[in-house]
Amino acid sequence: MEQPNLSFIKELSGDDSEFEASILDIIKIEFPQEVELFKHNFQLENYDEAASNVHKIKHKIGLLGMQEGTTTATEFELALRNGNIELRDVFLEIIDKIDVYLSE
Amino acid sequence: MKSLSIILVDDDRIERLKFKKVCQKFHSSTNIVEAIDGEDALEHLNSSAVFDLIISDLNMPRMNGFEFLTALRSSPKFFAIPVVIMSSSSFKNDIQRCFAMGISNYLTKPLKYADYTITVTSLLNDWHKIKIQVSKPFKSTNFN
Repeated sequence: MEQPNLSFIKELSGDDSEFEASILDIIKIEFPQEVELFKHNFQLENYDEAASNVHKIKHKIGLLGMQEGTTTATEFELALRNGNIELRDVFLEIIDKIDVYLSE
Repeated sequence: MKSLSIILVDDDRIERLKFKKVCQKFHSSTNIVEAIDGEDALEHLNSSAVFDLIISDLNMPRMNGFEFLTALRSSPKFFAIPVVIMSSSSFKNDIQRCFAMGISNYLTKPLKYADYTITVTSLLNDWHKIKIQVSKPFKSTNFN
């Protein structure tokens, strides 16, 4: 099962540990805010807005090296725009994994 | 040779950092001005600076990529600046809509670092080959 990792960020950063740390800091701040916003819009059945939130979250999933997760997020984003919420639980599982990873 | 001057439009801070980092590594002479959305980009464009290329995301608050393209294409001052859309959206409708609005290229942000680097460096190395797709300002086009 795919897990969040720093491979993409490390490749991007090269030897620049300050850059790596700054990317991680931004993710740690923005990720929970974006997830909160998604949950709020989803609860209100505001699926277009929720899709835009998933779009933003998708970037962070990709940055954390989760390619399958990014594909799922892309599918969920499109489905939400059509009012289809079937992928919600799969998406939330990915979010939970990242939550745990960032809090470690 | 004149260095390339770009306006990079993306509300995502990490995406801007990512792009700048790759430029720094492989295309250090590039001058990049950052804008957080279409409105911010128009403010930069309206300043005295001259840009060779606009690289823009689509999904942004205040003024999204489509609204920004509409504003650019209807402006006698900016309609001829080549625009490359760099988005994580691979939806066919978005891509078709952008080309109908005269963009020069549409790049989907790759997931792997190596692919991302190739995409960005190819774009910057070949920017002079980018063709301007609009020959005159659009009149009153409403794409919404």
